[in-house]
Amino acid sequence: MTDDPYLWNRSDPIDPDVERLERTLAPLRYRARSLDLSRALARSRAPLRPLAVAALVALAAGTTWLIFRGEPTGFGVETLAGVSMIDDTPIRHGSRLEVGSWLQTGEGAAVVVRIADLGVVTVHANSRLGLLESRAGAVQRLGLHHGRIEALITAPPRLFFVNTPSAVAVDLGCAYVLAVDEAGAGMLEVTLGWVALERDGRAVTVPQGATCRLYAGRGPGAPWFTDAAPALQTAVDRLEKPADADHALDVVLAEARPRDALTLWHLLARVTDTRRLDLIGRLVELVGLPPGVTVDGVMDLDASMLAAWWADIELDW
Amino acid sequence: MVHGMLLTRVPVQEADDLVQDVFLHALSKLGRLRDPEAFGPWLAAIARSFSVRYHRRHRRSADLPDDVAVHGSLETHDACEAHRVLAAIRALPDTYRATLVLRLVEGLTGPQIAACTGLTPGSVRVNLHRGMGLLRARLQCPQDES
Repeated sequence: MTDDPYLWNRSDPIDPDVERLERTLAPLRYRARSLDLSRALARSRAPLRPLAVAALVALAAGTTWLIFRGEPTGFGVETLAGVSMIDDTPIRHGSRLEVGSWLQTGEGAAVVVRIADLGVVTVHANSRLGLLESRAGAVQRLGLHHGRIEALITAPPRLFFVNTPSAVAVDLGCAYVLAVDEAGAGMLEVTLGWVALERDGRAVTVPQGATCRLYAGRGPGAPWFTDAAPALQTAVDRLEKPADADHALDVVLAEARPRDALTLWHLLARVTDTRRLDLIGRLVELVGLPPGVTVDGVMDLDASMLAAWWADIELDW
Repeated sequence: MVHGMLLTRVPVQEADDLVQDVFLHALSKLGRLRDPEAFGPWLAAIARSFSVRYHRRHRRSADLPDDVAVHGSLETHDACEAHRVLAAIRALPDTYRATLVLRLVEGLTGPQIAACTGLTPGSVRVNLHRGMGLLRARLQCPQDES
């Protein structure tokens, strides 16, 4: 019954109906053209930042200071400005950050750390960064005790981690800026791709163009897009204060755009049942409820329904 | 493959731009792909989502049917016929629509369709056979009596 060799893979004998349809439909076939980046970015809501694109091009070109395939242990370190130390030794040409060592940048200093063949991390002034784990072709883990780093990682997801006192930043293929103070409070801003922040089994996913605050002793808050209304951004921070949380959520709900479903979705598991219904109602108004997802299921925090709603709303980013 | 998946729902004149949108989206989300071997089906799923999303957003507006675009420009008889056949494919059940577009419009073979979309070769074969049967009926093409 299914013996149609020409229909299957153009084997003889030719089916004249199929051949006629192929000729008829040929004008509609896709003809590859160069990517019109300016037009495509104008249509896109999350354009790639020119600097990030240039950085990726540089990486692809294989500039030698970015490729360290076969490096036996540790990471190469290069001073950009000022004076920095690895443990008690000033950084010089050829210095390396080995597992168990800590890099400390001084006032006005900056250092580049080359993460094997996965990318680069720029360490800014007054920062303390350690290499916790490094296995060839496997997990690379840094520890940011305090300070500010910029990471540009081209590895497959979940190979590069940065531990902070409040959460672990999990690279999902990205570029980001991460800053923490000595208590563990800080901020993550993602400029390309995605980063997950994880603590005690809870994960926050932060896409490019979004920011997430880290709270000492508690972990990540809900993320927000940097182009969200200032009132919403302030209110997301106030959600962490119990006395303010109720009114803060009212502000978040009032100020949210469809794009801010990012923030609202992350709040679903963090609020009381009563307020969750408000969140669901607002999300439905903004982005709709996809097939297979029900209000009752989301109220119960059904994992598969939450995942399906996430998959639906992230298409708009 | 992406263009074919989009053609199952979106107007022909929108498909090219949406192809670029799909790839830009995939590029920005590439870090989420955990299994490189699944790239084809993953990309197909994104294209399918874009086409559904487009259709959902535009179904309440006065959709510009392809044949109106045809009449509004200097289209030939061949282009009219192409649009008529595409409309017939789009009227088929969803199961058969994408497979037929990929085979008849984009020129992929059955094995290639299976590799791109993640469907089993057996499913693709059945979809092609049944879909072609329904399409013949719609277009009133003569049956192959063998």
